[in-house]
Amino acid sequence: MLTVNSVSKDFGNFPVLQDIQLEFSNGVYGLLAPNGAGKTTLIKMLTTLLFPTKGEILYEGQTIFSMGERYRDLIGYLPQNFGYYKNYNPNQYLQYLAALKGISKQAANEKIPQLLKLVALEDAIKKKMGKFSGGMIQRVGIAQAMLNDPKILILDEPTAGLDPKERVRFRNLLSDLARDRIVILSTHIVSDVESIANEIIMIKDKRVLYKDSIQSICQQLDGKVYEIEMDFDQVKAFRKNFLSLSERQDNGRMNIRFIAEENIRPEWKRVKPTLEDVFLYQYQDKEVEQKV
Amino acid sequence: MRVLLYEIRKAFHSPIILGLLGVFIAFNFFLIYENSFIKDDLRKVNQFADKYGTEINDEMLDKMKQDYEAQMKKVNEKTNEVLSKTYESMDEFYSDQSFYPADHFNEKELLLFNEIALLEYYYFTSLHLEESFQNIDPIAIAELEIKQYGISGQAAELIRSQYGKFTERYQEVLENKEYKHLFPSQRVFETHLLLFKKMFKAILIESLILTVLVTAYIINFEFDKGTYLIAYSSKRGRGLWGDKLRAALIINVLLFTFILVLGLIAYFSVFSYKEFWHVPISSFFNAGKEWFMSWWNLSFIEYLTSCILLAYVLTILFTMMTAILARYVRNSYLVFFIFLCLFGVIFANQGIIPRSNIAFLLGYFTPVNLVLNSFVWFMHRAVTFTPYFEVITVGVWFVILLLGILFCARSFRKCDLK
Ligand SMILES: Nc1ncnc2c1ncn2[C@@H]1O[C@H](COP(=O)(O)OP(=O)(O)OP(=O)(O)O)[C@@H](O)[C@H]1O
Ligand SMILES: [Mg+2]
Repeated sequence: MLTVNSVSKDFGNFPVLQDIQLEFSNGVYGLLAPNGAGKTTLIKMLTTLLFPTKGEILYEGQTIFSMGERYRDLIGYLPQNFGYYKNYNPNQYLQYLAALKGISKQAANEKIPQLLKLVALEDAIKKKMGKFSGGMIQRVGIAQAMLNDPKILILDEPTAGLDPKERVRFRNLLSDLARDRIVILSTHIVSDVESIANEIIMIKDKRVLYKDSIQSICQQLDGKVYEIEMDFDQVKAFRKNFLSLSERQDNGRMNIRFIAEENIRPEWKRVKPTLEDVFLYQYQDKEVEQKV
Repeated sequence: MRVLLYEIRKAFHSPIILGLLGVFIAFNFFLIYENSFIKDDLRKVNQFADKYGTEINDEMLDKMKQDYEAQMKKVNEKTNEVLSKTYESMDEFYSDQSFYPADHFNEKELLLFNEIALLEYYYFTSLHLEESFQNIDPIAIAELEIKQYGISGQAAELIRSQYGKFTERYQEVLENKEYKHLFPSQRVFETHLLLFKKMFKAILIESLILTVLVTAYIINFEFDKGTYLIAYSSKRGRGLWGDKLRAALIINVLLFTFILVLGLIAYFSVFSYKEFWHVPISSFFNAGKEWFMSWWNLSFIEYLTSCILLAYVLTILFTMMTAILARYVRNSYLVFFIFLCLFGVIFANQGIIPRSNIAFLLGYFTPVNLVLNSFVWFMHRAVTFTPYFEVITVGVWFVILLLGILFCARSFRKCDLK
């Protein structure tokens, strides 16, 4: 069990996270929040790269900082942005990280080909990483995180740069892995976590907004999400009154998904709220600002 | 161990470091080549030493005298035949402006004259060596040095308080006859300057440049490549900083050894020291403008070994200095630049201290000063008034830098890696 106990983090005088309280046991946790919300900051604290300004992080009741290498041995970490050595091939790179992770050469020799196969890079094993595409690098990063068979797998935007096929593959892989470990993945792409996360954590205004199953999170919007068809020229006026969640063209007309809390009209089609709806609803100010 | 090897390998993949290494080695060879014109005469001095022994005493002076006189006779036979003149000495012969020797004698003869002139120089110098050395007044030399450096007040008093030690050592050299040995003459060959000033300074500065680059490169490697998030959250974690420091030390020592060994092999294969390895470095033949004896009774090989050891210690000190800088400055080239500035500041700092202040003398107790003055290491000098000057300097700096390193290692464990 990994516990984040009233953790705050400031950068200088600028608070990024405040009084974060979280508990993780085996399963997949989706850390869902918009850009700049503090996902990476939280993750860096979980990986001992940053120290909380206040509060503590505990694993099985012990602070992770006092556990030192015993704790770091338990984690696998894929950073949001990570470098690599351009003149290394993935095998050399993973061998190097295996050394840093204290994995014996023998064990590494066995494990690395398996992992590269898992992320579909077995053909590129001899190719220098300097010649890799962004998605290939990301897959090496995923392999690297799993090298020490971590009890706690922490992935910061793992699907960034992956094509749809790899995304699906990756999701399946994660749900397999999560059976006997903690998997925490951050993203601002709702569909990444929708199908696999046991729980979603949302951060808003430096604090934890939700830590709950998708179902319970979506419940709050029950009966508030509708769809309607209208002509193009009506859309602008409509947006002024309602929070539009998504808009798509359909046979020359617009199909709009939106939120309404009162004055419900019978011609609106009520739909089941999704995680994406909640995300857009919760972070609406920013979304609206972005649109303008 | 595996981690350490990986770190070491990184430096040897850097084209800049390998490129510089090549340039430096070539430069050292060039220094030797540039001065190689003395090598034949040096070989002859070795032959003298072989023939007469290196110790200057009555017996060897007799032998030298006989040879010299016999040779002189041969010379005069030749000059008499060709020029109808005879000479007291080769000095007189070469001073004779009425003819060009090359016009009248063949190459073999000229070489012979040259050899006899060298023998003459060695014979006469040896003959008057005792007198010359006895004429030295170490206190007068020290006073002159004090005047030259413009030292006054307390600083001068501090030096003067050491005069007891100056004379004591001088008496020792006088009594144990350390000064009475044949050695490549400073006045003729300047080999001490060539080896311990030109070569050693070049090697020290080359090693310094590589040391700073390598250390900064290795310590900042993960930040430069963006791999630090993975590296420092791995099991090895922040302890990697220590591995990197150890790796940098090993590489720097290896690179220094490489440059030094190649340089010295080249030097000693061009310039023969065959007979002189065990001659005291305080031989009066080795005295130069700024030194005339060492603080300790060291043979040439012992002196060379001491200098090499000191150079290794300096390499370690500079590695430590760079590591401390690199802890806070994440760009290798910036570290290099700051280091150069620091080097200059430490050097120039002394200039702003009043020369009557003891702090001015303490300003000499820096690794920077040591690097720039390798030719007077362990030598008797007024401004570095104690025999333990080198030991104190590196000792104090080592302790200070070690504390700095421990502080850096600790602070690195506790810092945010953003
Ligand atoms: N090194 C830093 N110094 C100062 N402020 C920082 C630093 N790193 C991040 N921040 C600030 O902290 C806040 C949270 O950043 P963080 O990177 O944790 O967000 P995020 O949720 O991961 O965003 P994204 O989705 O873009 O990755 C941001 O406002 C950012 O400007
Ligand atoms: Mg982030």
